[in-house]
Amino acid sequence: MAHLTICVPTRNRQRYCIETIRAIATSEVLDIEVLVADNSDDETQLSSFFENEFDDARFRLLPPQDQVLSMVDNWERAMENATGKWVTFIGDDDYIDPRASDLIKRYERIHVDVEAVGWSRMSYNWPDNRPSDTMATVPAGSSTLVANKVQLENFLFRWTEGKNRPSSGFGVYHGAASRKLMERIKARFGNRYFEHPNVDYDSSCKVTAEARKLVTCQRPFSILGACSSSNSAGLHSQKTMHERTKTFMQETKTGVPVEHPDFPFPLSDNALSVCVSVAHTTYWFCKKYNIDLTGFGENFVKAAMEECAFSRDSAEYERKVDAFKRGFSLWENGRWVSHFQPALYDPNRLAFRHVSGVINDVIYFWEQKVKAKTPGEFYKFSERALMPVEHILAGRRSFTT
Amino acid sequence: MTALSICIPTRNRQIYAMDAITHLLKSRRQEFEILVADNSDDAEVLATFCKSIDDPRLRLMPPEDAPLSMPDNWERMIPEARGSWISIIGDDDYLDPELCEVLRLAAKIAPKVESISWGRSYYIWPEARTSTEITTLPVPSNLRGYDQKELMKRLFFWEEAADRPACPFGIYHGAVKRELLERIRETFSGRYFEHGNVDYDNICKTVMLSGGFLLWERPLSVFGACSQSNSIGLRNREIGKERTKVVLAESKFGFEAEGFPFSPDLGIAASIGHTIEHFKQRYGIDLSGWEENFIRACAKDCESSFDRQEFNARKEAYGAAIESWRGKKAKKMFKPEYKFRPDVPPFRGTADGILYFDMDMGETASAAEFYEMIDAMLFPVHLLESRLA
Repeated sequence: MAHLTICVPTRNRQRYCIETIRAIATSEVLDIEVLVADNSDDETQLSSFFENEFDDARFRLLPPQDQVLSMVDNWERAMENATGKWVTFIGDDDYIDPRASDLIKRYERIHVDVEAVGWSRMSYNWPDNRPSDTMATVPAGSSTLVANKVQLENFLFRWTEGKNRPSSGFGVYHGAASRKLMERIKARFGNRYFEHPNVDYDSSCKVTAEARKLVTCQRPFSILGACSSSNSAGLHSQKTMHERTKTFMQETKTGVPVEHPDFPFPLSDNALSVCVSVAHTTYWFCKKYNIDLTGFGENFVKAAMEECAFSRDSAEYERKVDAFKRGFSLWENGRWVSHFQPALYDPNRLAFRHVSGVINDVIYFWEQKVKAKTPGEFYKFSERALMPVEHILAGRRSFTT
Repeated sequence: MTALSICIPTRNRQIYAMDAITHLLKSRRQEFEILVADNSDDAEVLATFCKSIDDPRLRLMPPEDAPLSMPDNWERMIPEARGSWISIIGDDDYLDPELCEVLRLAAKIAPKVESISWGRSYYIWPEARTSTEITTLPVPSNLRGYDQKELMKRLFFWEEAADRPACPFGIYHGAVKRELLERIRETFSGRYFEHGNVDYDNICKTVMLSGGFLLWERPLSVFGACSQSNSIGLRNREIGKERTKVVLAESKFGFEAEGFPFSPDLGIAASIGHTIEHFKQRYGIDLSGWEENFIRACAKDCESSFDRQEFNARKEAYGAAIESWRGKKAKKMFKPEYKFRPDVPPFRGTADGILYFDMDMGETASAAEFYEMIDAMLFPVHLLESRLA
């Protein structure tokens, strides 16, 4: 049995997916299983790649079904087919270092009851997705932290950090959950592994609520990639993001609605944001499973004000402020309207939001100056500035400077 | 008008100089020049190379009839340089022409400043590496002025020194104004450079005479070390001795300071100690109270040895010199510890404002390529002005 199943759900981005498969395949870690869940319109590209160009017993292809699946259903199918003791998901334009499996084994030895493992993630925009000066990020830490579950729940369910999106850090997306935990999640939450269309945050909520012990490593083991057709690529352009969200909402007509009816901040609004999208998910989860939401309202106001401050230009700022004002006036009888007092738009804030350099132990790389052409190449390049995996696995604590 | 002259003195290491030139000329900036002072035995290599490049920003000074000493080769560049600011780098080093932007801003915000420096980055060329090498980059990128008094303490009193004074101002991997160089020549001995340790010779004079000092913590140049570099030589005492011999012979007005019984080939602290003492003695600067800090620097110099035998040899030689210099009481202050632990791996990541990383990151083949790689993770030069706003 594989120790770790890496699930790669994919739809119509075969070129990136094949690069991702090739990059993972360079690893010498043997007890992994890589499950490629193809949900593309043209099934021949990946099947032909697996049949003719690629030969690695660690990889398995799940061909498309008769009808296109929603994203949540494709994840569900991948999970049902996973055989590993642990499972993780990445996007088809991402990368993961299979030595994450060795990291999990180390944590299993030290913390016998560990059920969720997180690690830091790098981010990287593919060369076709750099409309302006974009940065790749590399967190440079290497410590291990056992999560404080109470604090984690406060962050994720009640947004106590007041940031424009909550820290999660755990879940199956760029993190790992034990099979045992996933089965308990299925039994407790709707008889499915995944329910909400925002699958990554759906999983974060459930793992955070259900896992007994959660351990994280500050050293990155994976990369959140963004190619030109990524959902995250939409962050570069309001118009693209709008189009993508429309598709996303159409895809998920059945099942859990992407917008919670009691949370009147519409995603279809032209001021939509990741902040609102994540809030719909965590709010839905808390409402459905009776999780205490005390403090969320007040904290979400702070999150909304920070989201406005992160606007790309003053027009976007105005749109966001108007949309939030409308939402707050409709939500909970307008209880939070007077709390929503966003600071005036500061164009200088944006200028230094994305610059190269090292800030708070994160290295920001000016991507146009980086030679790496794929997330896999970027990982191999940038990990030269990170603690070598073998020292993490050996639990080394003393180093020379 | 030429804002900046990047001067590259070179001797018999044409391949390194040509790599630096090729990369420098990729810059779109037109307000800098590259002045190469060739002191090689074979004049043809660089002459042919420079002829093949049709770029008015590049000028070559061919070798003279007989090889020049290093101070003389540096000396002949200054009258030839056309820039308002002048910087000198080694032929195996690299300097970003974007320095011009920093010079432009300096003129705007601190017009009295005559000496500008920046954070340090270090690179050993691949052929000179015997194992994995970890290098460092400063994390902060603040622009800050320095007070002359503080720099004098750092240089002449060895305050906050490692194995060498913590004073980065001077023409070598720094930029100085032409007017300052002319004042240096007029004030001291009618030459720009005199001592064999040319870089520290200039640091002493810059600290004494510059109208103001500005440091940008963000690196703009790379200290390269190829297999023939003096800095690589210092890792091995025997090679170091040979290279020091050449430097000693090249000092215009003598290398060694009087009453300073440290053999100049002992290590970097001893060698720089001679340069500073020589300067002070020659120009009548009498100071006391710096000795304890210097003894600490001697200890750190010993501690930089990876090899136990090398460490012991240095410890003994420095100890004997200190005792003969300031007696037994001074020797008691000298407490080097052998710290190298081959069983403890080097750190990587960020700590105390420094990023530690494998020098082979990006598999760069030269100092210039290394700079291009680190430039991607440093604060963008073109945003400096908006940051100051």
